Amino acid sequence: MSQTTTHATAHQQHYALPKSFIGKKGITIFSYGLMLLLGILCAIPFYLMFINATRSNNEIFSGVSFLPSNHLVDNFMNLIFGKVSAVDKSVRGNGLNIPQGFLNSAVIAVSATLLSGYFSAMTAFCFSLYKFKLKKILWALIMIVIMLPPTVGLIGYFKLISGLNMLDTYWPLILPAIASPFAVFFIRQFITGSLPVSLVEAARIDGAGEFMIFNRIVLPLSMPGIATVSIMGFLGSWNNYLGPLIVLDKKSLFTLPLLIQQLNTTLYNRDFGAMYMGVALSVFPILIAFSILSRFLIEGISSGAVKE
Amino acid sequence: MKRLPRVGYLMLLPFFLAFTVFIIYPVINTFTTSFTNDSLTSLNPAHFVGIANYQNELASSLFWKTFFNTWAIWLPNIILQMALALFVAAVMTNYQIRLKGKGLFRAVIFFPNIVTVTTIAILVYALFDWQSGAINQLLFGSNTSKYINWFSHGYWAQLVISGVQTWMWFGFTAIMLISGIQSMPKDYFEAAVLDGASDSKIFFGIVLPIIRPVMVYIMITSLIGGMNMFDLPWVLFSNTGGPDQGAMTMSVYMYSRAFTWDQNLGAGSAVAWIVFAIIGVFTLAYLRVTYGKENAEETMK
Amino acid sequence: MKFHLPKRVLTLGLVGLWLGSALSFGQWAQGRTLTIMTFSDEFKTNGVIADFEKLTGAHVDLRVVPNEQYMNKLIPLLRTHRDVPDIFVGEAGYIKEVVNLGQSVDLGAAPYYASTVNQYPYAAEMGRDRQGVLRALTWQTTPGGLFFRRSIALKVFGTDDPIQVGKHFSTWSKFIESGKILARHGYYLLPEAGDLGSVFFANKKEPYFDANHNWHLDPIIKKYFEVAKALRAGNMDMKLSDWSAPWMDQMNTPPGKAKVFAYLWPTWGLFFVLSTQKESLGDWGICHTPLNWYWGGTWLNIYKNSPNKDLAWAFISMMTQNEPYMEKLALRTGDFSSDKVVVKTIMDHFNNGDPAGVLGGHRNHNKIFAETADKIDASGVSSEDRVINQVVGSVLDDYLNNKFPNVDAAMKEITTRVQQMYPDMNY
Repeated sequence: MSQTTTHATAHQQHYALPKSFIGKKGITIFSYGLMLLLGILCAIPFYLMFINATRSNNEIFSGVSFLPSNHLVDNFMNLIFGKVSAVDKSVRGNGLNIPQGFLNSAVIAVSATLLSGYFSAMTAFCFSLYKFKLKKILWALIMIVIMLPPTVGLIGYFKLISGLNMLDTYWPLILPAIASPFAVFFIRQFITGSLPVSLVEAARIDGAGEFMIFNRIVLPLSMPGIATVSIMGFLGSWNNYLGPLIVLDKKSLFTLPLLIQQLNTTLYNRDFGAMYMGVALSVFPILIAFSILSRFLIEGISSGAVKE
Repeated sequence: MKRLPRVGYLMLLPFFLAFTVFIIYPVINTFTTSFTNDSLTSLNPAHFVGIANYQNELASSLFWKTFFNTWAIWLPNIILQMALALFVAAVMTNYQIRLKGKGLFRAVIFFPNIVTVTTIAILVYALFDWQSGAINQLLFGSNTSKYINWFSHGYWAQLVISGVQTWMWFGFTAIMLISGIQSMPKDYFEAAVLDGASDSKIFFGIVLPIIRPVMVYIMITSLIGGMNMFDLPWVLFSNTGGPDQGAMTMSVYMYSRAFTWDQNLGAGSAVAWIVFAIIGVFTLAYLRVTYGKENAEETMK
Repeated sequence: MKFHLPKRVLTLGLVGLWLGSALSFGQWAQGRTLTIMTFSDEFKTNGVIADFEKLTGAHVDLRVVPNEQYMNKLIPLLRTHRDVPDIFVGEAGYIKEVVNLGQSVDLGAAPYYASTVNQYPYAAEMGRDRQGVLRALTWQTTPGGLFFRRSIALKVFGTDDPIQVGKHFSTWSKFIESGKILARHGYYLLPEAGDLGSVFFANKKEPYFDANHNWHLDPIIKKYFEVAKALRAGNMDMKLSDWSAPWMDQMNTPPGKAKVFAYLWPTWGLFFVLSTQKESLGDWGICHTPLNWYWGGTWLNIYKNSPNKDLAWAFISMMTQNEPYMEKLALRTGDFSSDKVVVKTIMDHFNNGDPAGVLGGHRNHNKIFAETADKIDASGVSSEDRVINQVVGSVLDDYLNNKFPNVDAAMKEITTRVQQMYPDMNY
């Protein structure tokens, strides 16, 4: 895996296919049409989702609509607080607390991302600027683990967590982030490629310790790389389903994916309006964040691709 | 390069501690468990059973069914996904075509990739509901007699899951390919165009070789992810595997073996390692085909 | 079942004593916490927790785990014996699995001497383990019936009187014949043929695996497939997948627009599901199905190493032994009690149907439920029901979609699939 270029995205205008490529008119029109279709295919399910979140069960059954209706509040109440109890009209039961799920997911994903960012950078720093015993073997181990399929240690992980009495806590979902092999690999590439070694040497001459050098100089200078890999890490943690499925049992601790999955199984939530509301609520904040950060995110992933 | 001072070992400690406890140990533990009859239904301690679990699983027709199911879902997906992504990448990197809203388009096709798979699964469940889902309503309007019951046959279910995978990933793949194409020096093209090379020659002669590392990376990560596909079929069909058990992937089978059915952790662990071996074999075979015998091992490093 | 009467009398006496002391000493468990792990908000919404906290002063910590994951969550706790709740529960589908773990106290022995004299036989039977030890108790039973649309019955059968309508559905051949008549009028007998599963599963005569690990596919399963197939072939079901939103929606269509004649519901279906279908309230009648059946139910266990066994027993005895309280509870929630005496005492409260008006004051549904509950035989329930019933349901789907040449091939497929899931048993 070699480093082809560091900042591909900065040179977008210059590196492109030549003029003649897909130049003929018929092909061009066909290309535009297909591109448009792909864009629509990607967007329309989400559009229908938001529309259907405002429609009642009956309206959803009667056919597709591209215009919203007025059952937003009903659907929201049915989803979050559950349906009205038959016995006592003032009681609702078996709701799915989606906002709580958001909070839980955020607590886990943010903690995991911070841990992963800091410790991966620290490890990458040692690997890129120093030599030490077993370095080659340890690095090879890290590389192998990156390619390890996630399920191969699943049962052992479950037994470990159960043995440590950590089931139903967030620790097993947060602490493993300290060891994020891919992040170490990615940040090491970044440090090797763009960190001026002279700065580190100057600091060393000034008598700064290695820990100080890392915290004061390397960490801030590696921020672009850390940020990129952190976004990927955050998404991975945020979307993790199998881990929480095995670890968590209290419903109040459930992460968003676990709660969302309940929409398909919970007895009293078989209401399409409420169901769409559930998925819409889970997508909405992501959509907002994405519309602000999409450029940064996509460029981060692109630069990652080139580095592979 | 300077020798790592003592404090440096302390700095490496957290990573390798977590690495050993949360990654290496579980993998080894799964391996040792695969030689026992450890079960969640029994409160007794497990004992050693040799390679019995491996023999049973390799002899199980259901395991092989899940193997073929997994391929039936992954293979069409990766082919279509790669084709669409190459197409999008070719158009997007063509500077003759002044596309308005390139950035928006990129964002739109990438978006399905960052939405939680469980959310997508629920959306699929609702949209593909055969009597009142939007897909049939859009395809056939009020002609209800034509409605397709998407979850009545194994192949339909596989097709839907496969299609959803493509939908989720082609944007991501396209973006990777675009950055691969953009990483090559412009003079390559200019020289080729001056030489009067045709479009197809440029594409196959210059573009493809240059993006090959990216494609290999995509293929391998997709293979690993595809062979481990769990979330989507699980949320849709749980441990039943859906119609004709057609949506039971190897991972769903592994999870069901270990945590539902007779909750046999030993057998589940054996399945996990068999799947791991399968991935290893296909990855090596793929690298060998792509790079030839000598280079395969080199690339692995 | 053997009953030792003197012991039972003693038990009642002890319960009385406990009640007396609870009343006289007031909130005796002030400051203590009782942990209950269950799979729904039920104890909160039906007010049981509030009552218990008021009575004892203890605090109840309710841990809610989704039903389909309950066993996967419970067993690891019991393996490590850490963080185990004082009370854990089992739903009908897996209560046998729970009691056979041997991790709950023997409620029939000292110091509990729980009484099952007045309980419906199957309700008590479900709480016993393989050796017949009573390890779990319930406060409700869940017999089922056929809830039909009176508007459609009047049109098709010329009567909406439940007894007359019931005559059209008293045997499986009449059931299918009536389905044909309904189909001719453009109605569907059931939303989905597979819905009959709960009726047939409750009528297995033997467990899937016996004590010697031998596999038994009860002939009733074949009957299930045949009846379901007949319904599907005669276009008598609407092919709505069960519990899906369209399936629920058909229940909520106003009379006149309804296409589905009947739904199969147990007691709780009336109170938790039908009563929330605003458009169809009052259009329902209830009659017997050809077999007696139940669906669901929750049984309570006390963890054998719990430090709060006294508190846990106080909770369980309040719900399952204290008849005055059980009466109050049944009236308040509409639960069909597991205690025959309680059911009898409050029977007349339901002469005008259910409080929500689902049945439009048409019939005392509890009479039907009581008749059914008495005849239910749960001897065929086994630890593996939860998993294998699911397999059967999934093979049935394939059978109804014409994947097998005949019913015997489908039966063989069930055995094959079960064998793949439980390879260590004898087939």
